[in-house]
Parts: sequence; C-alpha cells; structure tokens
Amino acid sequence: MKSKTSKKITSDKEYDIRFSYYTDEAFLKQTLSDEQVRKWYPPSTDSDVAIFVRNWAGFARYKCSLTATYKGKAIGMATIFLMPYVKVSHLAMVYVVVENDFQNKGVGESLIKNINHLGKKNFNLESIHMEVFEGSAIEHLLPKMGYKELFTQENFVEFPEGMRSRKIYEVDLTGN
Amino acid sequence: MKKETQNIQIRKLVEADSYYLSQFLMDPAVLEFYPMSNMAEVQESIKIWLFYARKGHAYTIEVNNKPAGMAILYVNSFKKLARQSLFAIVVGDKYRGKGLGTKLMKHLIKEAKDTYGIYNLHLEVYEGNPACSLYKRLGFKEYAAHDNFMREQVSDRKRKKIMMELDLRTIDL
Repeated sequence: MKSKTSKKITSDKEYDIRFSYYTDEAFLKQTLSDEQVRKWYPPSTDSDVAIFVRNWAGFARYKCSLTATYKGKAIGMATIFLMPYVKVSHLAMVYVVVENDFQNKGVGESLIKNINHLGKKNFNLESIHMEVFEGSAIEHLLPKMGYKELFTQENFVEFPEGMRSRKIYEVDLTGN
Repeated sequence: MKKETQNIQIRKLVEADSYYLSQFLMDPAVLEFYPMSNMAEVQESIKIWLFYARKGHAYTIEVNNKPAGMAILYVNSFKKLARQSLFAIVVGDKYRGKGLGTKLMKHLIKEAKDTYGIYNLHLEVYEGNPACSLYKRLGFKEYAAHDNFMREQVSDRKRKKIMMELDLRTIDL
C-alpha cells in the first residue's frame, strides 16, 4: 500500500510545471478513473470521463493549460476554460486536478498560483472562477490562494447520500 | 372586423429551425442581453443549440406553422448533474408581448420536471433584461449575482449576470 504523507514536493528538483500537451488527456483519464478524485468533478462514470477529458485536454492547444510533473510524469493539471465570446472573455473558469497519491504535497497550490499568473499575463483575465462541490478539500485551499466565495447554489449535484450544493469561488486578478 | 385565429403549437426544435434561430439571436435587442456579439459567435452558439436539439432537449413554438420562439434545456448527461438544468429562451421580435414566452416556458418547466426529473431549473440573465419579469412571475427566485460579467464592446459598460432558479419539486403543474 502506498504511503500518503503531506511532505511538500514542489521544491524538489524533480518537480516541474510545463504547458500541457494534448496527450495529457491520458493522465486526466487515469486520474479521474479514481472514484476518490472523480467524485469532486462532473463525470459519474468512465464513459463520462472520456467525454469530459477530451474537452478539457483540448484547451492545451491554446496554451492555457499547465501540467505539473514529478520525475517527468504528469501528476497534476490546471486549465483555463477560455470563454468563446468576446464580451465575456475577461473572465474564465479554471479546473484543477491532482493525482490522488500526490495530494497534500503543495502541487495544487503551485498549479493555482501559476495558472492565475498565466491567466493574467497571457490572457488579460480580470478574474478566474472555480466550481467546487460541497465538501471538497480544495475549499480549504482556495481562500489561502486569494479566492473568495462568490455564491452557493443548493441542490446542484447528486451524491449517493443526497443532493449537495456547488460553490463558485473567484479571484480578482486586477491588482498588482 | 373578424379577429384572425392563430394556430399556436410547440414541437421539438429541428435543424431547419436554425435559420429562424439565427434571425432571433441576431436581433440587436436580443444580442444586448446575450454574451454573443456577432454572426460568427451566434453561429457557434447555434451549434450548441443543435447539439441539445439532436437529443430532443430543445423546443420551438410556432404561430401559424412558422417558428416564433425557441427554448433549450441544457440537460446534463452526467448522472450526478442530471437533477439540475440551465435553460435559455428566445422569442422573435414581432411575436413578443403576446404570451408566447409564457407558453413556451410552461412547456419547458413541464418537460424538465416530468420528462427529465429535474429538481433545480435555473437561468442566467444579464442586468436589465426585460424577461426577468416573466421569470419572476413563473416563480423563479434570484439566488446569486455576478458583477462585471459581461462587457459591452463599444461603451465598455459592464453588466451584472443575475442567476435565478426554480425548485420544481415544490410546484404543481
């Protein structure tokens, strides 16, 4: 059984962040096939995952997606889902995922910090949003990264024990 | 003078309706309250309408066999999100103020509840949209607002996005 310690790996020389490749779809598919990870994301089944990750990985072509690697292997990904219309192109939703064995090691924090910077500098984004299902561990991380809860929508997502809410968090990128 | 009888019916949206949908969405009074701003963006949005139409999730209201308005239910195929649905509706310029939007909305609400088992039917509307009064009349309640969501290209004015929802479990049809 793999041990899951909370030691940060982001200062390790084997840790890196690069632009995502379209082929990182395979990493997303594998990571989201783990129900412990998948339950916090929209897909419910493996076939849902196949549809979801094709769309997600497709954003790599716009250079709006980053992949965290450890010893050359993808372990996390953060992607700006760019808006398709000019009138709303100053803001965007971001999705972040970290492989289960590499959670609580600073990878999510490192990806969020870098994707915020990329959004501001390369895409002139004024704000970034994240959708979080009630109970997700990322809820504790986002306030530390400058995200504020924008709103809650009740009865949004169905978990085995009943309906849960979704929360939208926002970070303002217009400051220095 | 004898009043002309109007034949009004609602059916599933078909690909051939996209000509009318394009006309409805390109109306400046409509575009003002939608995120699209030109024909290319409207065509992109129509692709999404047709994607859902192919699954049977979009509807057309006709007056005398001519499309007068359309509505789409963004029913989610992922099971855990299948109890909520966003929707959108558009009514052609010359058909507004005649109760067609209400008829189409009531049909949409019934379909959402009875056919798709939706609990939470919700919408996004931009500040100032006159359709807000229709949604309120049908029981939709504002649950959130998102400031500065849409930016006008010429004036640079930013509009707030208002989000409203209706719990279909609490209503009798």
